[in-house]
Order: sequence, then structure tokens, then C-alpha cells
Amino acid sequence: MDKTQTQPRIAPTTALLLALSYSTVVALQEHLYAPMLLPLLLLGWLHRALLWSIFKRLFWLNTLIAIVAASMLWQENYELALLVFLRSNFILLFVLMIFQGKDEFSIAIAMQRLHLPHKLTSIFFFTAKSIFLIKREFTLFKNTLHVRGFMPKTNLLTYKTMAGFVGILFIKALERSLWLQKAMHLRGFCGEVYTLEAHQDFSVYDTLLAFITILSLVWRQGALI
Amino acid sequence: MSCSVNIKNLSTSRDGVRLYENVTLDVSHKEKIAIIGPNGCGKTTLLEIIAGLRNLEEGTLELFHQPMHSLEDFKNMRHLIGYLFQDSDNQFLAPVVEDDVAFSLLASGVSKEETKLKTAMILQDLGISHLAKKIVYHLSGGEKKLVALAGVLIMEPKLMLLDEPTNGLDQAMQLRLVDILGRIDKSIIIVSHHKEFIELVVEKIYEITPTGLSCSLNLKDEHNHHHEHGDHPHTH
Repeated sequence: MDKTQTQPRIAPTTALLLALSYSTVVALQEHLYAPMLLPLLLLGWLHRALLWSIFKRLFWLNTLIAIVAASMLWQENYELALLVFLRSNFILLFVLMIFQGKDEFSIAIAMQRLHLPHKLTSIFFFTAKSIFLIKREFTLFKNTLHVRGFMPKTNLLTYKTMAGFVGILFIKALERSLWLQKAMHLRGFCGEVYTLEAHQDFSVYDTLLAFITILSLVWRQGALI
Repeated sequence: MSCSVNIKNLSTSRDGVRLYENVTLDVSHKEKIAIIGPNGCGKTTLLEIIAGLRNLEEGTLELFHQPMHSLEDFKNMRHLIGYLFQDSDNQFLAPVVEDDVAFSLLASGVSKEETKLKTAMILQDLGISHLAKKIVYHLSGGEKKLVALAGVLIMEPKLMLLDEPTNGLDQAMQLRLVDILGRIDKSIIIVSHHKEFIELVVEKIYEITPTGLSCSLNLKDEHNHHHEHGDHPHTH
């Protein structure tokens, strides 16, 4: 299911389970321990060719974390600011790397295969589908603006165009939802997105990553902070 | 002859504007017809009425000799009607190709084993077995169309409604679709602007106008035989 063939294949189910476990434990721990870096190092090595783009994404995600940390620095709570900063970055980096090369549909597939409640899986899949289709409309409209020579400026035309842009996206979203309703009527949807897959293929990377991640979460030695 | 669709004096409006009046149409069992007309004339609306997605305003509609008065009447007919949307993306209800194709069967309570077998057969029949494990949204337009068609065919409907089936398809994919539709032994109603395509698939072409539906071309009598000036399908 990976989009790129060059990366090691980590099953969507493994990715989802490990991301949930790692995030929960790291978020709820009082301290951060050195072994928690182990899965990050392994994932970093697995995705070594893409590290630059992963860190670029992490940098942009850090703008929000920086605001939160800065508010603590303002209160002179340096230790808590560092803890929040590191904790958030550990979790973000793990999630970014483990889902590298996978899209929103992979997560929906993982939810299906983990036999999570049907309603939750259906809602997630249809949300992912809607976001995917709206994103396509967004790109199309953006390209149209480029092709037609639109240059954003601080003027009424720009504001009007942007307002129209948002309006069109709303209308398209509404149209898509109506078509989805029609498809559900015609195809007999009754609250469940089915799967024919009876078994899952796990690679050696799944086993290794699962082992290292679990080990990192239970081995509480060498508190970093 | 047994009739799949029987429409009498159908009139439809959209946003308060009358699209057409007194539309009368009979589609026999296993007959293939096409409906053409200008943009916005209500071709898709007509398909939606036949599929039970839109209420009947005026006139009568019978499907397989059963009168359809309200959308509730269509509930027992759902498995007999297959609808191929103009935009295949709207049709998918599962992320993986084989799961989407199998969707309607699983939803109607057919066992997983039987569904798996039928899905494999239909994918093979349409020549898309290699796509079985792929994510539907990552496919090309033509591949998506075939996957959506497989999802319709797996229910073995008696009536198929195809809305602009050649939209976004290249020449090779169109010819493949002609071949597939030619092999399907069911009543088919195609709505399309693509005259060359529909002439290869259907027996009759109807044109929709504000005053009704008129048969603009009957290809039933068309046949192939040898002429000295060359072989090609034609009408006498």
C-alpha cells in the first residue's frame, strides 16, 4: 500500500498500533527516558533517504509547539518548557516517520483490519475521502488562478477571489456529500465499510520496529528530563 | 416482450424550471438504448428518477412491471438496478479495489468466501485483477471507471444505468468499454454525448427535448455483409 516502493514496508496496522502506543506512553510519562530515542533512531535509519523532507515538515509543525513552549518560558518555567518541547517532538517525529509514504487511506485500512468499531472506521474513511477530493478541487482552483494570471495583492479583487474560492470549496463539498449519499443508497450501505482481507502480511521491519518500540516504552533508564 | 423500464408522460422540473414534459420510454428486456441531448437538458435527472434517487413529479414509472410511486418502492428493486456514476470517485465506498467491488455483495449478506470468488471472477473478466489490492483513489481515470463498473456488475443487475461512461477515457479504454458492454446481456440505458461510442454499443438512440423523448436512430436493423467497396457496418 505504500506509495513509494523504495521505502521499507511497514504494515498500516503496525504503524497505527505503534503510533498510538508510543504517543500515549510518551505523552503520559512524567519523565522522558533515553531508550525512547531508540525507535526514532531505527525509523530514521529506515527512512534515511527522506530525513531532510521529514525534518522540514517537523520544523513547520514546531511553530505551534514553539508558541506553547514560549508561553512557559514567559512564566520562567524552563524545565516544563523543555519537557513540552521534547515530548511533542518525540511524538511528532515518530508519527511522521512511521506514516512516511502512507496516506489517509492507509490509516482507514489499518482501522478496518484492526476491527475497530464500524462507525469509527466508516467516519474516518469517508472523512479521508472527502478531504482527498476537496484537496483535489483546491489544487484545481489554485492552478486555475495561476493559469489566469491571478496575483494576490492587498486589494478588494484578492479578497473577493479568496472569498469565492472558499465558497466554491463549500459548494463542492456539499455536492460530494450528496453524491456520497446517492452511492450509499444505491450500493446498500448500512453503516459498515467491509474488507475481504482475511490475513495481514507483516515484514521483518514490522517485528523489529514493534520490538524496539515496546522495549523503549518499558525500559525506564537514563531520564533525559 | 417483457419490459425492464416503462415510463409514461413523465414531466420533470429542476429549480422551478420545467426540463421536459410527456416523456414516454419503453426499454425491453436486454435492450440497450442511449439518451442524448444538450447540456442541462435533464439526462442525468432522468437516470436518477429511474434509479429511484429522485422523486417522480408527474407521470408513471414501472420497473420490471412493478409501478414505482415513491422512493420507498425502490427498496426491493435496488439489487436489480446498477448505476454507474459520471464521476467514479463518487461511487467508491471502500478504500481498496477488491473491497469496493465486493461492497454491495457483502452489504446484502453474501458470505465472504462466495464474495471473494465472485470478486476475483469479475476483476478477471474485466482484465483488472492486477489492481485488486490497490487503493482506488490512486488509479487512473480509466482504471477507476472499470473498478466502478465491476462494482455494478458484481450484483448482476437486470438494468444498468450508465451516466457518461466514456468521460475522461482515452480511445483504447473506450474500445475496451465497448467490448465489455457488448458482452453484457442486460438492459442498458446510456446517457452520453459521445455519439461514436454509443452507436457501437446500443440499438436505439433517443434524443431528449423539452417536449419529450424521440427515437433519433434505430440501429436494430443494422447488419454486416460484404460489399465490393469494402466491409463496414451500415444501415439499409
